[in-house]
Amino acid sequence: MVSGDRPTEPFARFEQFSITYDTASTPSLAGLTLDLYGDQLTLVTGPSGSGKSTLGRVVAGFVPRLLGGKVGGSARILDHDVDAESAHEITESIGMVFDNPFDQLTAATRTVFDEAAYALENEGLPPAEIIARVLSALESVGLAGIAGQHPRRLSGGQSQRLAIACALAQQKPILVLDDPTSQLDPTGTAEVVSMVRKLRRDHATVVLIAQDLSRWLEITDRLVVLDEGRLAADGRPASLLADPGPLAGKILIPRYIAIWAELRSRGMGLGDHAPRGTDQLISSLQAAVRVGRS
Amino acid sequence: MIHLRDVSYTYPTGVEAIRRLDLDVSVGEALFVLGHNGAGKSTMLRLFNGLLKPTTGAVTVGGANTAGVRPAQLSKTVGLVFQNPDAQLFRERVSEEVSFGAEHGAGSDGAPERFERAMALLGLERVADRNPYDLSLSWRKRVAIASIVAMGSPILVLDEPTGGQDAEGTRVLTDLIMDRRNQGHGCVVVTHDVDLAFDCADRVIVLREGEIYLEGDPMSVLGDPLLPEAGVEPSTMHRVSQGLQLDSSVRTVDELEEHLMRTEEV
Amino acid sequence: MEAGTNTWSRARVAALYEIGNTWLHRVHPLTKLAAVLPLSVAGFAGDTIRVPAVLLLAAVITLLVSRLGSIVLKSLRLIAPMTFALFVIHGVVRPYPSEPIASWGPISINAEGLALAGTTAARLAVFVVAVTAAMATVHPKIFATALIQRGVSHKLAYAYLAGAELLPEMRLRAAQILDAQQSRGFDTRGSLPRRFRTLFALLKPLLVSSLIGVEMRTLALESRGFSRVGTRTSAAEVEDRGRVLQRLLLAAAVPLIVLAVVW
Repeated sequence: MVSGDRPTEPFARFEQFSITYDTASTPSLAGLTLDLYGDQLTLVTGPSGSGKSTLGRVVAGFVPRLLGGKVGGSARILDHDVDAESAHEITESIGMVFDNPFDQLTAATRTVFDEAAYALENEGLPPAEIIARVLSALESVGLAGIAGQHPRRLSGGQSQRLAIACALAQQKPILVLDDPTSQLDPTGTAEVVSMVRKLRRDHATVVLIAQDLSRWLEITDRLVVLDEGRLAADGRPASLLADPGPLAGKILIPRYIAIWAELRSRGMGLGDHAPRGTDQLISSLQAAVRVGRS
Repeated sequence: MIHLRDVSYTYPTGVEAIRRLDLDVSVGEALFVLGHNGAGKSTMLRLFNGLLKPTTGAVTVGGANTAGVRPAQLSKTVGLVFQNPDAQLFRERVSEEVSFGAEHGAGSDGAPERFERAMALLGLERVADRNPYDLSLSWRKRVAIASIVAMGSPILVLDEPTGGQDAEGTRVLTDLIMDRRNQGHGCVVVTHDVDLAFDCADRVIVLREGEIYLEGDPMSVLGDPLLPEAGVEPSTMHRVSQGLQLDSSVRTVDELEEHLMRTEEV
Repeated sequence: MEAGTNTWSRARVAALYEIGNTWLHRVHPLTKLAAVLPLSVAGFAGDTIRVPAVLLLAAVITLLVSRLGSIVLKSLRLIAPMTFALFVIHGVVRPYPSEPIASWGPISINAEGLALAGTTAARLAVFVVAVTAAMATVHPKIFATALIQRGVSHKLAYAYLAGAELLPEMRLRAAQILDAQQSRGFDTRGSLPRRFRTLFALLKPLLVSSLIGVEMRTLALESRGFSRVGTRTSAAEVEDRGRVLQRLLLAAAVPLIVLAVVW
């Protein structure tokens, strides 16, 4: 468990929670106990098949409500049991962004504006409010200038920002991002990372599922590692990754941490906090050299 | 093995994706292709195996001009794996999918040997009897790659192989590229993963607006000050070298340590 | 997604709708839809080509005068292959008791067949031109909004809108699959059994990748309140008008049906 200040109650509580999809023989989550808190970026990672995507889908209220599955233990999201009748209310409060930028479009709209307006139309909001909210959401993700473009003509990065804008327009306070940059090029990735950074400045709650941690650690408050449906590690990234050895087979250790850990193991005085980006690695190396000189 | 001479390709929409490109790909080298989206990388791949024929200029594969040869034929020389495995997989079992490749390929050794080798290289033995579609995307990607590896084509072309891979998948694919290098087989890798290129490439080309913008060995290209202009970041090691203002870029942690020790002593 | 977007730029975005502000654009979408029915029914009045031909001519002239010639072209593209097939089937292939007007060996052309083909083609053309004109002058979203206003389920409206986008999406997937299969040694030419095998290798990934896409889309739609109960609104405000005219147009179909049957 992470020590530190936690002003809020958890918005998600997993207690010995298990889920086995109807088509699967083994559980996707197996006895998971975990609390998730607001106003944080929780980064969930782990090997392929570790249950991290399933975790995201439970938090978003999709599992077991829409995708089925046999449930054990309990999972309460925003005070709703995930297998209760009221679970659809979870989905109404939690925004979801998937990895494939295009398959998550409604495919029934002809403009970026209409795509972002779709959810609000389903909510039955007055047209004037829809227009105001959509324009402000598109503005904050930097897509207002191309509101009239066909959604399929967007780049991958723009498309992911549009998916975020859809959740913003719905004023959902919690976002689940399921590997949102895995299918993007570096430019698209940078766009999405800086978008999420901005959301965090505005205190949005983000549950981020990712395989490649390197770009995200800088804005990660808490790192959760799953393996075979269970919790394998949980903590602040800088301390959890200070000794990356035991995690090496389970998660992709960012290159800057591998270099740092290797130099540290050779006796270089680099402190106990792993760098969360290449720039941090550089400054800690500079600091070590200064200390060495004096 | 693959030669592009003054090759341009313009899509029917009028987009000029490749401009007057000259390139030779030889067997035995690991060639990495980097570049921004839209720089022409995927068009170039499609020119390699005849899916696209050049608008002007000529592409020859194994001595034959691709203009008159069907992609299916060329696949025996150039095995191309696209980014999305779901466009490729169609068999009920992983082993069937891979043996399809082995049966449709060519090579000095027989299909059973190529099958066994591809399964082992991609670490698929323990999922051999599973349906590919019951596996996760990163595993499906490994199956798709294995099926092409089993064809035994002298040149293997991989489009973004490590994207979305976990720790094990990344290690397996890195090993595959290194294995081909060591065995003297050709390998072309299109990727955004600059550190992968740093580790595995013999030669790197950076495309920009359909032209070769930078070309050379990874140590010189991946730290080139012009790199960001092409929308590509320097490798982590190069960034560290530049950030510490070392007089020359370091390649290994050993070299980095040595540099740091020397700086301490000054 | 580079391959995807690239292929996409090669595939055309299929859309019947044409931006414009002609008088036809300004007619309420459901009024246009309502007019399709009596027009197409009237085409069936009489046994000869006369009525459909007059209607067709009137429609084409109206469209040309309204600077909507592109709709005529679009309709023609839809009608041409069917018309050709009709002439081949009725004029050439189908046997008739009367003497042929011309014959070359086994092929003979029959006057009755030609007349039947011409009449059927003209009737079909009236319908196609009417539907194309109605749909090409209304933005799909406005059309769907108008339908929802009159109580059509929003799910049906979604199906209509997504259906219009389905073709380019399928084309994109198919292009990717064709590229991937050729790259692994599948020959798209060759003997019939080989082609069947190729077809299978193309269809299975098309089906499966579409299904994977559908699952994600279902969840994404759910996240946007797709199955929420309650009233819906539209950012595109459509004035709900023309109810009387629409009823009249639909009602006009009744005497026309009678006329078509007894004439």
